[in-house]
Amino acid sequence: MGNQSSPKKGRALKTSYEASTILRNYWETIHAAKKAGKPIGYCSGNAPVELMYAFDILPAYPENYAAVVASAKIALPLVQMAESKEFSHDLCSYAKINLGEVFWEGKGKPEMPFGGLPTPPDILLTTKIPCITQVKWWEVLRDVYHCPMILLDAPMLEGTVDNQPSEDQVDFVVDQLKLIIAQLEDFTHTKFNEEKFFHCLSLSDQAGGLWHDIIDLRGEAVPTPVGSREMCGNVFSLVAMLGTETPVKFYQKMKEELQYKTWKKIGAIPNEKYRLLYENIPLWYNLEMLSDVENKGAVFVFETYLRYVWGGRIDLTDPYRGYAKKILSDVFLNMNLQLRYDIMARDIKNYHIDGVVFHSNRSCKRYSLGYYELKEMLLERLGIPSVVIEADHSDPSGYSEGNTKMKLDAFIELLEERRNAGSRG
Amino acid sequence: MLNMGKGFDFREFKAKQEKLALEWKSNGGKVVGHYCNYVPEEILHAAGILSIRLLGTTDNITHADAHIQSFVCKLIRAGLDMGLKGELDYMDGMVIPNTCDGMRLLFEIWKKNMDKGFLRLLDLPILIRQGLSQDRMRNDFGLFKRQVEEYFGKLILEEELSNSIRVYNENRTLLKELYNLRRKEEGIISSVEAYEAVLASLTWPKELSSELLKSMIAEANKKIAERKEVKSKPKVRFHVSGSVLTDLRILEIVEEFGGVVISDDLCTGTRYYWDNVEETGDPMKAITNRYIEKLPCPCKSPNDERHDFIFDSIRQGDVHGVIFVMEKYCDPHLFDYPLLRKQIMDMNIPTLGIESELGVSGQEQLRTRIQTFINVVQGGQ
Repeated sequence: MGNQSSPKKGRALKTSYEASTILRNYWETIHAAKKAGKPIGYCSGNAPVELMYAFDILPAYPENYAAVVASAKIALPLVQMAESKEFSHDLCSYAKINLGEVFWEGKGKPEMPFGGLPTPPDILLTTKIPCITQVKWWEVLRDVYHCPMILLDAPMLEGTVDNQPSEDQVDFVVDQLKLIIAQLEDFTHTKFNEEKFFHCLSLSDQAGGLWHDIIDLRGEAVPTPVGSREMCGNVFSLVAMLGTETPVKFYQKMKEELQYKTWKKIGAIPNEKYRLLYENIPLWYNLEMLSDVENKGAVFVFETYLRYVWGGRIDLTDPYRGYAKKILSDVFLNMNLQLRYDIMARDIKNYHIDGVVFHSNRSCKRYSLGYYELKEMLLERLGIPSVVIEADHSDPSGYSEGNTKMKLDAFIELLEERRNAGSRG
Repeated sequence: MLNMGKGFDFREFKAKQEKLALEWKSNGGKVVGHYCNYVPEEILHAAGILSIRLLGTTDNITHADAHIQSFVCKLIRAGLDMGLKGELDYMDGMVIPNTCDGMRLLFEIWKKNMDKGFLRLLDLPILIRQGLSQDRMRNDFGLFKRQVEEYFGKLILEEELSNSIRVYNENRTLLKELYNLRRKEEGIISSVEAYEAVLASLTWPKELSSELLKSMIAEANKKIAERKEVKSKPKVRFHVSGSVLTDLRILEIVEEFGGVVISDDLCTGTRYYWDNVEETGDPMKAITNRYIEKLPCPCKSPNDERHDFIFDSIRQGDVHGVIFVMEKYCDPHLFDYPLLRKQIMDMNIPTLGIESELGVSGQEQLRTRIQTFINVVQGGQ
């Protein structure tokens, strides 16, 4: 999602180098569109972006942009500015970074990557699917920019074994989508082009499918050909460009490279000993955390954040219902605890995972609450050990790199001891 | 019945509430706890159940920290802690609505550790002004009624629902009467007493709460008739904005320095009792409409109506300042606060922000802040 800062070594995948070009092109396009007077919409995570593309509204992602800002290590002054404008220290740091930019006053504003978000937005699109923060934050933006705000109301997935929402829940989201289409018709003064929308859905489904293949390829392969840090930089087009050709082409190429690497058994690190699962949003200001463990023979091979937050398959034979199902069922944050456990348990087995690193993220209650339960469940039911690190996804203040390192080192030592004990036993 | 004039103590209040609940149980009644004022209590009441709003505790958290992070509001952590310690064992059930992210996950943690009795998630929509969401709310309330009936083995008849609507309406009307009375006749009823009466309504058998309210109102009217209360000096009048206010010592300090609270938009205030249920027509439909149309919580979108309610109150001309009592980690309120505060200040009304965790630590500092604020407000009068 964010651009990576100072990689200590080259990328494991050649295709990954294209991610920065995609990001740059995206920003150039959106700024040019704004200049040309085309409508720009601020979209939040998991909002139905394919509809925006179907209506020729270019989406900008304040959330994603906050991650970019954090990975450029300039989040702090923006966070502090938001706090000086009475936004509580305890609110989500994505929101605070954005609101720090929106309400910036005086000198000393950091140079914003890619020229900043295009302002003002012409329309706001959000949803409660991942969290209520996105709704409350968007209400602030609505009051600042006085533009229309569209909210996709959605129930939380109660959870069944096959991870499907109930028919009533799907109906509800389908009805909501149709209402949003009518709202967008009003806003753009154009008639909805259903064919174009279905084409966007098809592209979205292709990208989602390729992404799942990529996750499976790197997760199932021993050794894994690519670690988390690099993959966090590859997810952007899945966040912001679903419904366009870009992610389809990009992930097709990446998949082919991964197929080759896994066939050749070329690993991301020379001597892979421990395979880790990363749970929650990364620390964008310290992505090194994800690769530092590699010096000890450990590698993050799977992340719920990359697999169950962005992208997903759509049943195109029944496009509206298929899309509604995807929106409801493919977001980890919208799942209940039992479902989260079931999915983790399945993936831990499929991806040969030895241990789990939970990031208890003070900026994301919806993701983080329940970790102590999941930790216990994993250990008791599967014998999988885990560690919880305390941090924030974008606000570096209060983060202790030393403590986190120590915790992770100790965790890898624990994995080592367990393995030794196992081989002796 | 209340702890009038002795200084408010939440522990004592809670002890009294628990005593009443146990009495209810000893008479064969059922008790269900709940969070939030979007739970249709009328349905529980119609099934003969005492519904009690969980207001947390001022005690230290001892058990919940092992299950939930500290960056969640105290109301959530305290309720979980009480449950884990067995303090809620007398309850036959617990209803948690899907309001904020913390509450939603609280349900999961509750279920994992205390999956007993009538434990239900009430997954309500966020967009309450939209037809589709309103239909969904009707379905959700209908389902809730069926779940209550099935679990407690009691078919809820229409006339029982209508009776419960009347009982709740009477109680809300009395609370509103009390509100209007103290606004009109400032000082005749202390702020502490008035808010303690709301806490009682949230947690006591409704009929008992209504009796108390009637006697408070009668007493106030008697005082007015006898003109016993002589205003010594003009009081400084405040609106209090926030979610739950259980530490009424804040109000004691306000009064100590010559202030009085005459208006609020609290979850433990007007947001609980401002709107009644229509008494004609289909009772389930009427109940649902009431919860759709009521003065909304910041967990619902759009958020303008609560803000307009505050502005309208200020426009009545008798509010001199606004005190925000904000629960730490309460995202919905904390997001609303900066722009809401600015709009209020643009109306030339000073504001004071107090951070609370079901109470304020550092009472001396709080006293100084409130005293200074009252001086500022008085200076501007």
